[in-house]
Amino acid sequence: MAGIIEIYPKVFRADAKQTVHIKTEGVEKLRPLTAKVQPMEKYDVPHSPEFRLESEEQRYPYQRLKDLGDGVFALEYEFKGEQRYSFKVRYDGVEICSTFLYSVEPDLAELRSFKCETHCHSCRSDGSGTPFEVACAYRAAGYDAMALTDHGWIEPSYEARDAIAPLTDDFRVFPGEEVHNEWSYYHVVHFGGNYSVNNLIRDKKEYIEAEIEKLLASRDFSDVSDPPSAAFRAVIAQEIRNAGGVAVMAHPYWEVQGEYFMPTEEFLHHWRRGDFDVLELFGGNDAVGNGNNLAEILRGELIAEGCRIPVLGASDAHVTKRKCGFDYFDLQFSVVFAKDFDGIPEALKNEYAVAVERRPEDGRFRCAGKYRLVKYARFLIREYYEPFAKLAAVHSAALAERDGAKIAAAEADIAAFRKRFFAF
Amino acid sequence: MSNQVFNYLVTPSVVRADEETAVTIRPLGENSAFRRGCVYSLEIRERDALCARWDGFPTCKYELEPNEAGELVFRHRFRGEQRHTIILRRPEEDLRSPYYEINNHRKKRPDNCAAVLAVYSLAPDLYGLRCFKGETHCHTYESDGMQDAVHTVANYRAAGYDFVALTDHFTSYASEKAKRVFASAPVAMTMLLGEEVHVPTERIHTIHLGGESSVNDWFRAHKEQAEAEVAALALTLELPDGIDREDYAWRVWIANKSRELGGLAILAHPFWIWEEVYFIPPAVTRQLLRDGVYDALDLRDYDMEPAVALREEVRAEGVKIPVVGSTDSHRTEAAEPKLPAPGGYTFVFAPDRSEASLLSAIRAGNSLCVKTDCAPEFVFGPYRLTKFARFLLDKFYPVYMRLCHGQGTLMADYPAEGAPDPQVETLLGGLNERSERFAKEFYGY
Repeated sequence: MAGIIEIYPKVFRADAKQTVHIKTEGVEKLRPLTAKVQPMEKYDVPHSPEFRLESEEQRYPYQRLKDLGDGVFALEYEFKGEQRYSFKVRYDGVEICSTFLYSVEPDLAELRSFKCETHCHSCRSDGSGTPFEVACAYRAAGYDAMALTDHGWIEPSYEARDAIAPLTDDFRVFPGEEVHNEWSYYHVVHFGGNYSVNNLIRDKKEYIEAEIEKLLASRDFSDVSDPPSAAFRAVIAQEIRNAGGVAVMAHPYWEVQGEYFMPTEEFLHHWRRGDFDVLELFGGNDAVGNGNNLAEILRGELIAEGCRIPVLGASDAHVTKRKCGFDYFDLQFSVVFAKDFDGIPEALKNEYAVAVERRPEDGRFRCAGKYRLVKYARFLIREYYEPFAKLAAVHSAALAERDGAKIAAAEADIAAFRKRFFAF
Repeated sequence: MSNQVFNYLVTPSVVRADEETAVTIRPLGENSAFRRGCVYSLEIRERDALCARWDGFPTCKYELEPNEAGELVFRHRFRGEQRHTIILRRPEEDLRSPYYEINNHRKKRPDNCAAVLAVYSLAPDLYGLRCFKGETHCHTYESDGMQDAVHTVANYRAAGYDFVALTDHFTSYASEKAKRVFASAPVAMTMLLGEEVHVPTERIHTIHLGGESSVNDWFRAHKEQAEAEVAALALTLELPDGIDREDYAWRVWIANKSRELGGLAILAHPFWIWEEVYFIPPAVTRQLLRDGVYDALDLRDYDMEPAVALREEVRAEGVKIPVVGSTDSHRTEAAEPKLPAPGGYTFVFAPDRSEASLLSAIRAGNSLCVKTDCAPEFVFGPYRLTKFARFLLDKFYPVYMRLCHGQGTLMADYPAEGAPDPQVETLLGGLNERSERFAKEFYGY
């Protein structure tokens, strides 16, 4: 059947004339093709009493496509500002293709997007699957990067990293751990650092206690009911930073036996003082939808106060295989915008990440973060990550087999897809 | 939702923070009745405190026998503004099923735990306010809706709404009719004047909520005057490049006129995607919010996340943006095709449900947008109200909505003109008295 095979690229630089390519099959039946690009945000039309929305077509008329041969057609268009565009192709007045394009300002054009998991577990703590299996599961779901954050130790993330790193440069496993005190009540996620803070707590107990005492003596804790708790969390966060990692406030509104994991007063205390680098805004531990709601609302109020609260989404998955329960796997994640893999930790800290939550009941996504990134991430989730996940699944299977030739072939396909999708 | 709301009534369920209050736990059926002579244990936990302090796990427990009325009564000082979990345990001689429910999960009882109940303690400024559920944007047969004014209002009451504004395109006729028909109906529901203002054309959609008369009508009667006022206003506006001055002036004029006529101006669905285009260019929406043109933003939108993120950014600049929620519904019968619009409603926290109190509360930011196209609901607005609302959604509304359902059925029998059937009026009064009694017992005020 004749039709459109592919539209490429789909993401363009803003404020520059560029070419959209339309690859077809059965072209002899489809000539002449026309197409229109319609910006979503900029009318560029003065108001008038006669103006009605129905006149869109007059303002954005279909244009005849240039035939480049071999079934490929082209349309030149000047993309204005940062926004989404509707792109439609017609043959003989009948719409045969409808999709979306996006243009980004120069700063975003310099960055790649990475689908990331920053909080999950393996069988090395209370999850299921070996670190390598968990990493492959994430790659199969279209992730670009992840950190395994098992309870109490960083070594499982090293195990995953060391298994993946020799196989591919296109999927990165970062070091990670969920940091606890001795009796495991306090949970702080450590993403990407150089050594284990859990080990530090175990091996240098006196040092940590001295740091807590020092902080208690130097800071006003009158806004919290239990200063040692708040001081301990702040010290953990600082030690994560000392280790070169990102200190993530994990699931503050996780409901433990009918109570919030972290009292609001402590949430406020830490963010007003910038103790943590990033807030796990959307987390998997939210059985009744209460926690993610309250975290988002309280973050909004603190931002209005002038606080800066970078966000991420993380599933805290303990299971990655459907037959084993599949709890929160791939329901929450982050889309991070960074120059390269090495830039991901800094991007998380600098608010270049969008927290994403997928509703299992209908597959719809909810995103939170900076306004322009939210808009762009929503476009990428649908237009880029859905097709990308299919390629990543092939890559994952090759990784699981540790088959160098298959890995190289899958990476070549991914590179080609990426190159065609982005005009830069 | 915990089924305990249908097994026990905790009265009051809303208490003053940091003051000792007598709380009664009333069993609502044989399955939850207390046995005379047995001693029941209550454990109270503060949800928004520390479930584990650095130095241990604090608990507060009471041992109680039922009183003459078969109820458990205890006095407790509920600390701070938060939800308190009350774990009720039965003694060995009065055990029920070996399972209990918490947060929608069926769990085996670790011991003789019988029920997980809750109380919410409020600081003085919120204590005394009731939560009213409302619709601020919907349509009837008077424009492009499917039901008439009476049926539409009745269906909202059946869903537990306390106030409704019918906001038909170009006209406040339906809302005025609803006010007239139910003026003396014995039902605790407030009808507000409402309309969707399309002045000077359908290009602009603004919700005019409450007030005395229609902006659409005023425009039709004084078109030349309005145009002259807008032209003059346009000259005074300071706007960034790329924003159409005349278009912007009309939006400001409509908002001002809505307030002049006694109502509120609400920014409706700026992120409605019409033919793949946002209904209002986001740059214009941002400027409208920055300038405080409207009294509230209807945050429930067709493309809601950009609306939420944009509001957050503008709030970070120091701008206060009260919110409401709505459905923009054009039909209210469940049997009809599902609405394409994402659903929502408004919670207003006010001392009473009079029009003046509701409008004043929205203007002051004491309102929430509740998004309902997800499970469970997602709430947007001030944090303290959001937390309280989530408690109400869990413990109050399941019962209240059930009690309102019959009232809606009876309201549908009201004639558009003339006196209602006295029997219908009597029955409605009885059901209304029941829901009001429950609300009073729940809130304690």
